[in-house]
Amino acid sequence: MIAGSLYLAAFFFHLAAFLGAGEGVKRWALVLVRIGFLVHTFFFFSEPKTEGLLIPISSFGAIMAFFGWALAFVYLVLLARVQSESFGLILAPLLSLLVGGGLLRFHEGPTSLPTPLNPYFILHLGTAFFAYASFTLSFAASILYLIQYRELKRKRGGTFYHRLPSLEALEGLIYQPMAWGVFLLTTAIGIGILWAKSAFGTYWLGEPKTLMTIGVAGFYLVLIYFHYVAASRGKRWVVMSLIAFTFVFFNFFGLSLLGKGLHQMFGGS
Amino acid sequence: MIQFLVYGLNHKNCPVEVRETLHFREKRLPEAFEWIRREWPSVETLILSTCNRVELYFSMETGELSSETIVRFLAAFHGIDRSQFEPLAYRLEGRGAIEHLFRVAAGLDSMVVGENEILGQLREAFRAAQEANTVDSFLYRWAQRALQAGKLIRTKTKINEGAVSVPSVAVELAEKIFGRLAGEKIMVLGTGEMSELTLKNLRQAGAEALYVMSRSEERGRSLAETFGAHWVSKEEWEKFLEEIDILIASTAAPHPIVTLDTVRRAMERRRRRPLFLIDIAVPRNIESEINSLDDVHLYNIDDLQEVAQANLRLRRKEIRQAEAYIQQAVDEFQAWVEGLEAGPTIQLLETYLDQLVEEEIQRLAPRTEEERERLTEFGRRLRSKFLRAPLETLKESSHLGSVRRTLEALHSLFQLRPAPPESLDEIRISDRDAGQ
Repeated sequence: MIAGSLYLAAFFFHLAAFLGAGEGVKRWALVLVRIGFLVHTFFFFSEPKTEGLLIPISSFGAIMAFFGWALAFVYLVLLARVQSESFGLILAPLLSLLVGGGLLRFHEGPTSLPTPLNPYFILHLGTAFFAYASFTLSFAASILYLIQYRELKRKRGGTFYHRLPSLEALEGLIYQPMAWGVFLLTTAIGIGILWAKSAFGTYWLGEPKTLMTIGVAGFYLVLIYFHYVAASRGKRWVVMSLIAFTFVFFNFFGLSLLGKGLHQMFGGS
Repeated sequence: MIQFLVYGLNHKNCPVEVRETLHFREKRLPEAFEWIRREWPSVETLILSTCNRVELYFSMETGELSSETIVRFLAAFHGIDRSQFEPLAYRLEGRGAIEHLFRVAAGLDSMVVGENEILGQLREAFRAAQEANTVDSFLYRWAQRALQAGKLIRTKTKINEGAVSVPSVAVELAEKIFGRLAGEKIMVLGTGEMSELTLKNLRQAGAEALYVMSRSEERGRSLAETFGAHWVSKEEWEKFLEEIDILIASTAAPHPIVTLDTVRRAMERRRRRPLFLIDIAVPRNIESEINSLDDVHLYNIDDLQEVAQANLRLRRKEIRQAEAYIQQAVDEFQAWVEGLEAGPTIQLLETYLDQLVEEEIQRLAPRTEEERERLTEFGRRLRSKFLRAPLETLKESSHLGSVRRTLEALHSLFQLRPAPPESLDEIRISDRDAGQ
């Protein structure tokens, strides 16, 4: 609740800064996100222990809160060098929502997964969530890119034109988390395979989500290839990255909520 | 009484033809300061002479400086007839003068609101006056506070945000597309003055001139040489389109020479790398439909001017906030000045009370040391309580700008003798030391 409130306060500060309230307000917004993250981290490490888990995944709400934490971690720690203030406007309310969602159903029953404390399982879960968080940040940057692109095409020199970074900088903000995400997702797939062997005696469980995840990683790999190796740039590449994120979204929420098997979010099979 | 005075002419009411006749060239500044030191030895002076204004700032502790004297100096120094500028000049005194310098430093009195150049020009004028030894404590503090306020306003508000001239808008847009410019390649079609200026601005920002196309080979080669670029003929420029990032078009061609098909083909070869096209020619050199192509950003002269106007509107929105900072800075400065003026009177009043208390203690003739100490303590308390109300009134009137009247009242009520002449000098020296 405290973390959620801090993220929400950060959002209002970001909004005020965006509307021209000045540098001080902008600094405070970032400070609030950071404090929110610290509070979030404290609860994140203290809550699951009471449920006999290392990572809180016992309910959809808990998963949301964990995802929020991963998102804040990737933004504040992994992408510290490429942080942009404009992200705050999108990220702060999202974090607030995710943490708020976490409050609703945090205390559901324990998971029925066979070996929740297996290190492979913990690593698989951690890397997968960080990968999704990275893709979410890349997605946020894509949205900002398209807004700035539209502003430049409209030729009016409005607020967004002034406040948002350059197209070049935004492209970097799309690419960097994307590269992180692909690396983490590939790692998550590899570790997941090892965990399946140790938990179920087979490397391949043939889960729809596993297949979809491989597809998502492949899609992003192609995008990275086009951007980095083939030097493909611009709006078309950004739109492709948005399409890639819809697969991430479907994979994370769609298949997890509706699907069957180990990756089902509630209780599990 | 400390006086502050501004006499000058600026872009608002004085045409450039007149301003340029009154302009103090850097070479002649020492001569002007020499004249001022000789003619007005007790007056502190600063000369701010830019393309938009010629202003003389004065402060003095005693005496008067009439407009007539200043006009005669300007006419004699520049060798012009006073009737040419006298009706256009303005004279500001007191708070009006103080506020004017703060507004000038903030860029609120500039032709382009919030422009940064004036702050540098004022700093330079201040430095020149310091070197010529024509500024002492009052003008020193006045200019210093104005420079500080100008800097603060630019940091705290967005008064200087956004480019407001065509070449600088082109740079701003290029930076919004390519980020900080670092070797982005430019091609120029035509050798007009505006294209040269835009190219110059883009190069200063970090872009690199690569090709210059001109129908006149001689002119084209000359411009290319100036900017370290290559001249290309009008038959071959198209094939270089895939290499460059920014194209400036300003030829005298009566129809568009950069067509949709040309750019579309180039974009395929460029793998969608963004292309920024600047069309500052009239009639236009680039087909407007090109802007519909993905990753191509076409701005003609009207578009650039519209962005400049939008930026200017944004700056104007900040004026109210900037004015508030100026009022605060002026209040603080005036409080300092009035504090200086009040200092000697307070000192006199304190001395007067000390004498009264001492006389009364003597009259009571205390017998023991203990009794004397008690009476001294009583006198000290009485003095402190008595002074509280006048000091608070002085403080209040200093904020209201009416300190002089209060001081006069105190002098008259208590029949205080005039302030010793050296007291202000002492304050002045200590203040100067604190400033350094």
